[in-house]
Amino acid sequence: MENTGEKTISTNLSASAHRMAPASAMAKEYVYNETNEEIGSIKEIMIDVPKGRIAYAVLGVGGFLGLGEHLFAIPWEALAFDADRGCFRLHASKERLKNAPGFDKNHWPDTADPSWGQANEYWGGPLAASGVPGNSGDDLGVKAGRRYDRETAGYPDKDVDEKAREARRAIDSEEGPSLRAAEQVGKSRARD
Amino acid sequence: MRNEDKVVHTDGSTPYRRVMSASSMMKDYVYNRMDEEMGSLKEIMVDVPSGKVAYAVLAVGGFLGMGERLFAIPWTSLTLDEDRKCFVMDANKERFEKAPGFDKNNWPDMADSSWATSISQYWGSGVGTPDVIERRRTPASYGSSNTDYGHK
Repeated sequence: MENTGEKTISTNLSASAHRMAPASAMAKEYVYNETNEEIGSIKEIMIDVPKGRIAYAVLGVGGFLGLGEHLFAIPWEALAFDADRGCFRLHASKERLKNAPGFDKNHWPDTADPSWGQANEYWGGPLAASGVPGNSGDDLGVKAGRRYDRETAGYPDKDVDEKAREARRAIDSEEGPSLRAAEQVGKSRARD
Repeated sequence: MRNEDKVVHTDGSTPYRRVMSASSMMKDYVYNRMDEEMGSLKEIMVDVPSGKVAYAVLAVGGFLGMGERLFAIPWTSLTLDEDRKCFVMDANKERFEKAPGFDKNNWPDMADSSWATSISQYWGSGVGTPDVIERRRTPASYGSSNTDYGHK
């Protein structure tokens, strides 16, 4: 991703108003590259609390080294959301990932850590180390004209199971018939 | 105002961290300055193109027999208290009674500008667009507390 294009790939203009998404729902999306290879999935969204912005996304990649899952810190700017397919896109071949700086599940980097600066540089992020005082990355990623749309924006996927259970209980009650629709909504959102 | 004032951290034995995983903050309790429990963090709403955190969604219980209600509040109105593993905000329960809230099964479209306006009008800030969030991060935005947390 050259950081110049639109952050969101979308041909569905009617939904372009949706740009807010719950962090917990994004932490489940699959990540594909340009050649439609599945690279992995977003495991976690890391938030820079004082700045109020995403510091990076944790990409989980499993399998290619035969050692289970590997975690990578990916600058948010390197990811584009593909609203048409409901996934993220990262400009990266599996080969490129092999050489990318990874990190340990129990030691996720702070943006002040040198390991993060390394990862950020690898992925072409504009920030060297956002945690360093005076080196503000506040303007990064904010580009006019970028769009985001996502049919399910504002609807946390993590609640889907809970909602399905609630719906089931409700259906067994006397209000059941009127609540059947709610269950259908829940099912249609549970896409994995 | 330093950015670090957004995080309270006085325990020298643990490293100061400004980056936290979203999931680790979920269900964190939210207290006010009088240590009254306001609710808990239910969700973090992100403006996807910019990566800015726009709203914290709070689950607040015990309203006039209505059960739990959800409230989206500007992220800038929360302070993370790392010492106690909770969030702190300037508010009381009465403030929430009149606040624009929603049911957990009926989330609003948070990208809708009129909705964003209603939130910013109520909580007294111009949230909704990333640049406004940045602009709000000024001393006046959370300088109303006299609480001294003893920043290092």
